[in-house]
Amino acid sequence: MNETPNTATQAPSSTHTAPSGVAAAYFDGKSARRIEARLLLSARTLAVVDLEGNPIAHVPKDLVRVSERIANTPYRLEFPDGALAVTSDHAAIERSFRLDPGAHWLAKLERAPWAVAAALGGLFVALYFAYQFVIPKVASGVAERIPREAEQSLGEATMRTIDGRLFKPTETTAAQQAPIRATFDELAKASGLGDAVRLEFRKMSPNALAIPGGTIVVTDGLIRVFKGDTRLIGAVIAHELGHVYHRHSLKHLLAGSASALIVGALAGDVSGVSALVTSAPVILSALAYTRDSEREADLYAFELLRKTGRSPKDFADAMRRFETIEDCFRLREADAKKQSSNPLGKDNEDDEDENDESSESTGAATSSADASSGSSTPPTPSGASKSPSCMTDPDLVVAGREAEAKRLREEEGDRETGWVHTHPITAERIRAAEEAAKR
Amino acid sequence: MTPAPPPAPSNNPHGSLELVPLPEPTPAAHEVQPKPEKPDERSPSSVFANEPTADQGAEVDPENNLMVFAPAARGNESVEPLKFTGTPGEYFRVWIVNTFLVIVTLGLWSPWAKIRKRRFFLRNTWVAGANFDYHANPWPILRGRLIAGAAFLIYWFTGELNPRYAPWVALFVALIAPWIVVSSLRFNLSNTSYRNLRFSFEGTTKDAIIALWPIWLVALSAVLYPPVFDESGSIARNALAGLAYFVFILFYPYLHGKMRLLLLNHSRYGHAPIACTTRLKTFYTIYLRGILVAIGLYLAATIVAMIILFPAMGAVMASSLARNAKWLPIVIGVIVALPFACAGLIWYAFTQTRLINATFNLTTISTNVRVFSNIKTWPMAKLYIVNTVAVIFTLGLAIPWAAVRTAKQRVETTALAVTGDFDDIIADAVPPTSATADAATEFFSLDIAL
Repeated sequence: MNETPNTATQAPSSTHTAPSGVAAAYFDGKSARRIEARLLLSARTLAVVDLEGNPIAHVPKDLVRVSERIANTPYRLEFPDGALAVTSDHAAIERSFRLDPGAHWLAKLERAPWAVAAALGGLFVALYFAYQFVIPKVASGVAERIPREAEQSLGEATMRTIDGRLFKPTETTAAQQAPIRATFDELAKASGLGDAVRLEFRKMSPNALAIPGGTIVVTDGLIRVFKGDTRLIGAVIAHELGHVYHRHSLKHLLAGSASALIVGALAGDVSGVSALVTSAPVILSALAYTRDSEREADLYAFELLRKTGRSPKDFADAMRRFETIEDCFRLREADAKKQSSNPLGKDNEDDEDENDESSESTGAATSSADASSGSSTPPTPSGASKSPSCMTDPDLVVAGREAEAKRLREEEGDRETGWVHTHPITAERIRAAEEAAKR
Repeated sequence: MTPAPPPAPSNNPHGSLELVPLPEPTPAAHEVQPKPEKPDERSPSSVFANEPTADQGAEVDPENNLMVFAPAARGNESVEPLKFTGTPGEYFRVWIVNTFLVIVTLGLWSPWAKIRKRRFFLRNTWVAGANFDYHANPWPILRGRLIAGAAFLIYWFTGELNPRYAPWVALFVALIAPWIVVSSLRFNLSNTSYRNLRFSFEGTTKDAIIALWPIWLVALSAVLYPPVFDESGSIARNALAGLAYFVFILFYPYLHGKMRLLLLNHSRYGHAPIACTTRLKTFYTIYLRGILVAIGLYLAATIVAMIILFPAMGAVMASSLARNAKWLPIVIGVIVALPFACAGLIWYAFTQTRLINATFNLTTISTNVRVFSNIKTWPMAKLYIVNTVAVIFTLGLAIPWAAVRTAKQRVETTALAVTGDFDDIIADAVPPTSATADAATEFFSLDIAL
């Protein structure tokens, strides 16, 4: 009985039809020759014959190794003498070899819809779990175990880069710096970090940064908006000390590398998929980690302030000042909008965002709105050049217009992200500080 | 049966497809079975019982594929196009289950996953009535990966944490790179088979050093003039800091070409030698053309970004949507980056396809098998762009789909031209190899895939 209608192309070289049995290709392993064959399977033996019925091989079934099944690729039967038979007749092989369900569990899983769905769901859960808990915990644990001295080299490299790009040398005098240094030394001693941290001054828009290795930078802009008030500046320094204490920069580095590794491993299958794919998840997770770090640094600051006889209220006051500055800018913008169909509306937005990076930004800052040059107010067609600067005297602008400012603030919502916002002033943080102050 | 004498070089309109006369295969140690006369039996489109058919997901039209390659074939050759029978649906199942297992075992399952995935792709690749297979043992791979993982951690802690030491680490990696490359090639090739005969790699570390010595030059440059750019420094100093990059770019075509030639010219299928006669100059020509193409592409991308995207995104950012959506800046960032990503992918496709064609079309196996490659830039570029977009917007779920599409495109633009048949190729002894180097290569992502 002719089993294979496809043999029409073969020149019939014998008078009898091809033998029955499982269709297979036979490769003896000694040459690359392919022999069209049939497998005759009995209870205990496997015989291989060619299309003319001539015997090729005859072995007991237990000596034949059946390969694992992968999707719909053919089964490969390996003979003890190194020969190979390849057949697509999955059903026949599975029946005859009574393949133990346990032996090919993986193939069964891959074919079962429930398993695929479970793996899909499980993968998302596992990845979520990894990003939210595992990576941050492991990164923390590892970061704690790395001695602070190890961060020095990285810190130096970072400072060199930032000094070249973002910072200019400070324009404050030693007399102006002295009270701030005194506050810093007091806080550093109380934190137990002592010599591990040092203070630097640089010229830039209002900001304070914690660099890996323990360097804390306070900008001229910050001193200006706080009008040199060491109480407020001290609160911000306490927050930065929190970053240093908890090794946040190192943790972020570790967590980022871990995320990149995982994404790389998963996406490693495919060539020609752009680097976009691997970097986007890493950036997204970095944002989430910084939110948690900010909260941690805040809590540390409250503790440290209390310890040195100060109050978390100082922190709340510092945050409020930034909030007032923001309100001032919003009011200015609203005013300008009312004046005309303002094409500069967007410029105002930029100024706000740039100056809004309060005290704790660790990201890059665009410094075009230079605080010390005083040109931070957006130009208005009405030419109000005598109006107070939002940076130094925002309360003058907001005075009497608190309700309007509040309304504008609420309209804008919780501005968690701006261009380079990593940790904005939120009402939540102010509230937390004031709660802590009460205790 | 004596092998056919090598044909004389011909003036071929498809390029210089000269055949270099290959050494006669060594006489068989045993009697080769005399082949019975079967006229007209060989027909490339004959469908044997195990050949992929339409219902197994083979979307390709073998006749169409044949026509692409047929003109370049000679009279006594039959053209065997390669076929890929895997479907995205099948591979998704394999991929998702194995990836899940890798994650929950914190990576320990990865050797099994790697073997399974490679088997999927190799067993779904067919030519001349047979498919390929992968035979690696997972345990050596696991050991190798654990060792490579430890090495990677040391590299990370010294290189990332102390940027000062990074060039030294690079130097060390460069020193051991030739050994890693050779061991990895040997491991992978000897574990790949076709028609029950294994491939093998006979290159030595010395061959690799001779081929890849510019890597040491790059590392040395990095050590002597660390690539740290100092805004406040002199122009000369910054120029020297870029020396390592410059040397790398200068030698990249050389390294790429030598790597491919190292692989192809020291490999065997069974006992049959594989040879590739592509000249090094070709690699440089292709890369230089690629640079011209890249300049044009990035210019176009810049124009698109500036004229269309920036204003559009600016409008979106100023709108009320920007205030409420926290994720918007990220999405906008991705969208603005897309023209440049596309430019990069098209450039990659251009260079890659030209290189593949240049090497495959001059590759021979034994004395009677030639390789044809007909892969084209634009289909590959489209493929890559669609893959990238799909993977981003499905949060990675499209990865298996993209992998299968890519494999199908690459496999089915290749064919073999066979004079006579494969019977003359006989087995060769294959020595065991170490899996450590193989794992190290994957960790440091030195891609040595063909």
